[in-house]
Amino acid sequence: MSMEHSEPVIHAEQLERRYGRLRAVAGLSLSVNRGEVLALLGPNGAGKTTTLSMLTGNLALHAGRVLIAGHDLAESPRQAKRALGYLPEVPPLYPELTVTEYLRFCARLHGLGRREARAAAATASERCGLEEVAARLTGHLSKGYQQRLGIAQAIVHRPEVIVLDEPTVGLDPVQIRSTLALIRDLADDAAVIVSTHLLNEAAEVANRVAIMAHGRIVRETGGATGAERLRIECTRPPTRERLARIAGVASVKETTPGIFTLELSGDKDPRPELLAAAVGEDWGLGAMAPVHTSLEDTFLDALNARPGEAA
Amino acid sequence: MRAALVIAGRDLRALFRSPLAWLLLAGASFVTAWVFLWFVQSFMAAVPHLPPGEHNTGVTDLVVSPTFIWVALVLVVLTPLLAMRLLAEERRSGTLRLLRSAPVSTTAIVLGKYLALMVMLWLTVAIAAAMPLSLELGTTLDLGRLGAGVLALALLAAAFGAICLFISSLTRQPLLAAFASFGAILLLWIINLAASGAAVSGFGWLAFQTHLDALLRGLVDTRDLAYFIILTLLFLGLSIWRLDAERLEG
Repeated sequence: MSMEHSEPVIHAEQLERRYGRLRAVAGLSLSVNRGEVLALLGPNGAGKTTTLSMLTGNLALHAGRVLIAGHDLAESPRQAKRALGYLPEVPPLYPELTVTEYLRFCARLHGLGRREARAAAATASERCGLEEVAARLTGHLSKGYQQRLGIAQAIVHRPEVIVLDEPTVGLDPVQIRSTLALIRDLADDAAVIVSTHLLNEAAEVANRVAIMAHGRIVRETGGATGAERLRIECTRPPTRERLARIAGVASVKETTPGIFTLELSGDKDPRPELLAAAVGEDWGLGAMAPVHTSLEDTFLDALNARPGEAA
Repeated sequence: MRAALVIAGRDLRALFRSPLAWLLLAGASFVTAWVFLWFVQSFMAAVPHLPPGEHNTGVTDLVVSPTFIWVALVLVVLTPLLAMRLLAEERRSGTLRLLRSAPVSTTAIVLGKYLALMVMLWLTVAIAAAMPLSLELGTTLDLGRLGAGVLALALLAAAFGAICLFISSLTRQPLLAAFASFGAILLLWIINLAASGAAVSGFGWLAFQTHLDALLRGLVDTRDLAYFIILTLLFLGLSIWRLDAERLEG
């Protein structure tokens, strides 16, 4: 997963959606670059599905706008949707079609020609591990395969933006593991938004986690893979200034002699240079570990907060 | 409109994979054939009593038109059953979300569904029309009148189809859609019966039967054609509007 700082391929601004007098989502903004996975983490009823429905054109916006690959979803929906792949909460399968027929149909629906659709369906089913069930009717698949087919459907036309609504619900632990690995792979050439109510899942799969509560993003943090802080322990410690010169380190704190906490700037992974320097200058490096931010605390706060406090 | 064809193709494939479509087509053909043979038999019995030289025109009157009225009645039952799943099932199973997030306009979704339905209905009409046409082997038919009759059935099917598609767009229960569609068609079929006095012409214009009878008599009047076309376009438009409105309501 590379961290390219290019233009975001999906950008949402001040989204709002009301159901009667209830504001399901309000003032929600997000953007995701190619190569990134953003997890929308929140308890059930936080507005995750509503948000994803708005991002994919299934629900009209009451305020705000959505840009996908530079196209406004409301003004030029067809161009915008061509760059979009979406897996709803329930995989949208047609039970009468076989896996291959279904994937070809989805590809054709996204404007691919007959021959391209054939190739695209084959690629997507290979990527999602569906070859052995290719000739089965989708209605006869197990829950795990149905979910994988749902993901295959979302990527069959090679979209730049992939939106997955709770893709691991109802899967067993082994299937969850392989699904999360697949989602990380998808981010190689796309921006991925995935919703979940499970903290460990969000931390495992995402570069960034946006915690949602009561229709708002209450906090955005890096996931475990892109830790914001590093802790190192040295028996022959260098100076704080020496550590601060390493690219990717924003600031250095020495908590106890020989133990440092490095705030990372996020533009470069400092670990290779740190290791090289530690060996070359003989710091006696005993430990180096990412410091997990208080994602869990924030999430629990969000769960407990009342609507008024959540802003 | 390529997207509409892709959607129609999938719907037809699904229809022909289910026993329902085959059962309905078989049932419709059986009823039509039964009625047709019965009318042919009564015609054969009536021939000796007809004035000489009238046999050829008489066959259209006594066999073709009555058969076609029965085909129309078959359509009353067939259309709601074929149309019930079109949009209701997509909504219930969540596949409507797939279509909505694809680069496909609401118009293309509705037209695709409608096209699939019309292929089925017009196939039924074609099978029904082939039966009287076979009489051409042994006698002379009034082909102009037969043509007007086929046109009437095709237009009637188009209007029924649009009404049923619209009703299917209102619900997520296919069976409910079928019953409601059947009710709506039946109402439009019999609406002129209840009318009296000044209301006669208005209700008469609304009723299917008025326009169908004229066409089956061989009278191709643009006002009757317009009735079916207006009805079809109106309900197709309503279906599109309904699907669009749903995005706003949630």
